[in-house]
Amino acid sequence: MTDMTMEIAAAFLLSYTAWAAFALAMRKHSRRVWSDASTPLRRETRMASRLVGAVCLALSFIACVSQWGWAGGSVAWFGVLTATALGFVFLLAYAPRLAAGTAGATLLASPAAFYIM
Amino acid sequence: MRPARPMKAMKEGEAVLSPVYFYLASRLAAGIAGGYALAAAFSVWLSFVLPMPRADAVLTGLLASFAIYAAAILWAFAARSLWRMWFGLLVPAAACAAFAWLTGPITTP
Amino acid sequence: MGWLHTWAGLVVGWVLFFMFLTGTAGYFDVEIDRWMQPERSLPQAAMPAERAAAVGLKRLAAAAPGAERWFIGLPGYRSPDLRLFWRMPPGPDGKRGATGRAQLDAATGEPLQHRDTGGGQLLYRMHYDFHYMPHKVANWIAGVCTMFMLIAIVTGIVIHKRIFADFFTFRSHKGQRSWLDAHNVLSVLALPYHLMITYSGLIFFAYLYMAPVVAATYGAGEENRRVYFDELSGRDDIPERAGPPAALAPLGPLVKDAERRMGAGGVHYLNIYNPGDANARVVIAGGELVPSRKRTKLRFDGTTGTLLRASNPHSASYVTWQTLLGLHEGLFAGPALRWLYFLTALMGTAMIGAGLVLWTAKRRAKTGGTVGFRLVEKLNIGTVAGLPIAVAAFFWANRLIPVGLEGRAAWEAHAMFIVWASMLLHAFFRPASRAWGEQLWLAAGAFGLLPLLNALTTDKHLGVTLPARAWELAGFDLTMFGFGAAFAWVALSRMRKNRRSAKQTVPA
Repeated sequence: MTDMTMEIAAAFLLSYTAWAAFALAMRKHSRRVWSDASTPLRRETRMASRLVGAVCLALSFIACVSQWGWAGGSVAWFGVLTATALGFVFLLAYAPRLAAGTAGATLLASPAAFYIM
Repeated sequence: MRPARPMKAMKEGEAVLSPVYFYLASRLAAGIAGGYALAAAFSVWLSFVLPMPRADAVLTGLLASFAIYAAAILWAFAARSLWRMWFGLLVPAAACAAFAWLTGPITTP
Repeated sequence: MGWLHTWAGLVVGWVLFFMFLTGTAGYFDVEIDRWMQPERSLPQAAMPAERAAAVGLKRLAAAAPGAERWFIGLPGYRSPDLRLFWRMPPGPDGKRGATGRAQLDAATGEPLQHRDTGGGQLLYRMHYDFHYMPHKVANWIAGVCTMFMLIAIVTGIVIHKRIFADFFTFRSHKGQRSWLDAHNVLSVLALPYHLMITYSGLIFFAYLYMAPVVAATYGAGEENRRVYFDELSGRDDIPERAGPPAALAPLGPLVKDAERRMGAGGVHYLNIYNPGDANARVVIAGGELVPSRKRTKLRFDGTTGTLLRASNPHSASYVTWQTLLGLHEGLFAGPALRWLYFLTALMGTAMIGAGLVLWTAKRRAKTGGTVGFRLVEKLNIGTVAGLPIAVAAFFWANRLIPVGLEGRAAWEAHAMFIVWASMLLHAFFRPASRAWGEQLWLAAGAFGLLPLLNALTTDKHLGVTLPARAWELAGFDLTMFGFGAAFAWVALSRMRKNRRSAKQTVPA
């Protein structure tokens, strides 16, 4: 695997993680994943989740720029955001647990990908 | 933006000749024709006064024109009364046209 | 605003669906070209720029001596072909000179041999020229529809009060609710693209739609408009023909010089003005592909070969203009970004389709029997399901119409529109629910079986293209199969849903 594909992979992984972090901080989505609906997420947990999301979005932008340059990278970032959001929404609708599980995997994989790139 | 009252009052299956349809036709005509007039007049005025080579000034006017047009169409449907709507479209359009006519192209060729 | 959104979207929704679908295909126009020319050998390494320029020059000198301009398009990353174009000087009546073009195999330098086809270019051009119309009429229709689209987008943002709260919300199997969710998700997630593609679409023909703005400064008419464009692009820097003939300087060293500045493979094309004249100019363009379409341009004296000037700087409005057009076309996009463009554009197509279906889903209970409702419903079926079938038919026609047939390229396009018309007719003569099911299954078959048809009629099928790693060809077959699978999935879930609701309504 070349460095180039690693950057693209990092951009996708980070962006998917970000969407999952934002969505799972919302009660209406998180309770579809963890059916234990009686305990709402604590406020700190929700804020932490959103923070992870924001950081991942920023890092995926960096990955895009280092792959495609400033101009192309900005365009590509929107494309990556759109594609991963669509994938996440689709999974969340039809297989919520898989959507969250994938997010766990991308959360673990994306720092590695970002580091290697 | 508040939806215009005439739109709200309209129900499916209402008679074609009811005043609601007059309101509607009036707003459609204002949005499409009046909006175009405003967008064109504004862009012409812009292309005359911008301090840049004339080709660039015309291009800038063209780039901005559709944003003006879209805003004008939204205004045609959002304004609370027909009076306000026509006023808001025609006065700026006439002002732009008048200024443009008075100054003429003053940019460097 | 809700009213405006609904009707701005509905009135021209079917035309917009056509524009989005054919425009989406346009992101892979070159690849579709290749697939529709199966006689061509599998892509091989193209010749180096220097030799390609020499081969092109030789052809042009033979085909168009005394031309006003010769163009040589060098092999790029998407296409290994060598593209030639020429324009003859204006006649005594002042009319612009005749033009000609040729496409050469960059491995052999010989003209390409393949079946007569409009290819991906024809499909892509349909999204603004509608194929059967004079260009100007078509461009106007496209412009009006695009303006409706812009209004629909802006009003859509205004009326969608829960953009962030519903950002990830898609509830399946909920009827009208699901269609609204789908329409919202497809709109919101790709909103930057929708806005960009719509506004820039208007900008392409802004000089036409807003002709008074150009005319106010330059005067009305085609001639004055050309003055405007020449000023804008700086094309007026090329001197007139001097008269006395002079030999053209050898191009090799010039291309080499350009390649040194732009990087290997970085030279995109050459323009040779006034070839054979003392005032000949050679402009070599290239460099990294960027959204702003900016290229490094080197201008050489055509007889001495001395470098006159490197790129001229552009104004901010010029760069904005070029960036809007560049973002729309996506010509700068490499493979990964090109797929993202394709996916996002597909989402736009699907958004329009979902919006059209939503209109009927919302009204079925109340006004389901009216003529207007039925008309919309049938146009929906014949377009949302029928138009994709018609595009598949365009590809089927490419393989099934005999290679030697007179005018076969035109018939490929006719086949597409005949099939579309048939789908609309079918929708009008069948009960709506059945028409949906039948057309969705037909779409599944039409796309899913294309790779098989390809294998039966050509030797450029997946069994060959996959081992050879000819991705532009293999990718086409696989994508078509993917579309077939997607249509089959939709058709299947429709069948399951209908069976469920039938069970519920049957009294015990």
